Amino acid sequence: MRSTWSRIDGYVLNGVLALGFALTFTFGLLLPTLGTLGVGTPVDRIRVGLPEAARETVSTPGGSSGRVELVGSDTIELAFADPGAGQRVLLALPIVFGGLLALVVIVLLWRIARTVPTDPFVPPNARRLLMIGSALIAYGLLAPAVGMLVSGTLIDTVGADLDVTPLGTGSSTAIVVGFGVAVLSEVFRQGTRLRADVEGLV
Amino acid sequence: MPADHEHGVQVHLDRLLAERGITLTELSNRVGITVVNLSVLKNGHARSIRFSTLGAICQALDCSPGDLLTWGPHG
Repeated sequence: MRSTWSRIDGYVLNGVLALGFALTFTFGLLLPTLGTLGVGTPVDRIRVGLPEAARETVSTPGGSSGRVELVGSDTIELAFADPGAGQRVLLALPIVFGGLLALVVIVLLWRIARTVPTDPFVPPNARRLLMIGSALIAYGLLAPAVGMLVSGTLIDTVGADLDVTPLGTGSSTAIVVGFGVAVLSEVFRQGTRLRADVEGLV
Repeated sequence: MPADHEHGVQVHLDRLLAERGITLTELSNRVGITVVNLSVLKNGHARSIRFSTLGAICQALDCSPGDLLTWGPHG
């Protein structure tokens, strides 16, 4: 069977992955870490929850569409003018956590991509797909916990009587996609076994 | 299950072809199997064989499967 995968396809895929790796490494790992160490601008804000009473709602009679309301956001940013070392670490933690997992996913995708021109239907690729799915599920499950922990600790370190609540934002989409990729990895694994069975069949 | 190279099955296609004075290309034309696949079989690199392939070769070479394939632990 003649492969439709061209050398240009390989360049494009590798280019996209390299760009994704560079951007994620820079903005998801390098800059936040350097900021924590006092080099460059540290992460200085984190999103926290705003109590119901503090949310502002503006009503207007509206036009032909009837009464309209502008409802205030249920989140707000807690910004530190001069965060201490511990606060800098905490502020960078959620970004670094997400960045590390994203880098893991990109590296695994790159290793899969390397096999595409020759033979992608091999058991290691099934394992890599499973690891990608696991990383996505881990992000979806752990990111809210990390966010809650970090924002809660930071609110405590402020000391002032701030009427805000810890907030952890996750992604249910990451969990759903992660499960989907994990299921597909099992399908892929069984496919590689079937392929191995017919390899050398005459 | 033993590894693929430990199956011990020996293919005697080359001997059968020589005895009948038939080339691999001629056999390929008779049985409708590519020369590449027949070469894989002849050189002992095949890991499995379809009954249809076996039957077609036996018919073309007027032999039985036992003439084409034998088993020995030191194969």
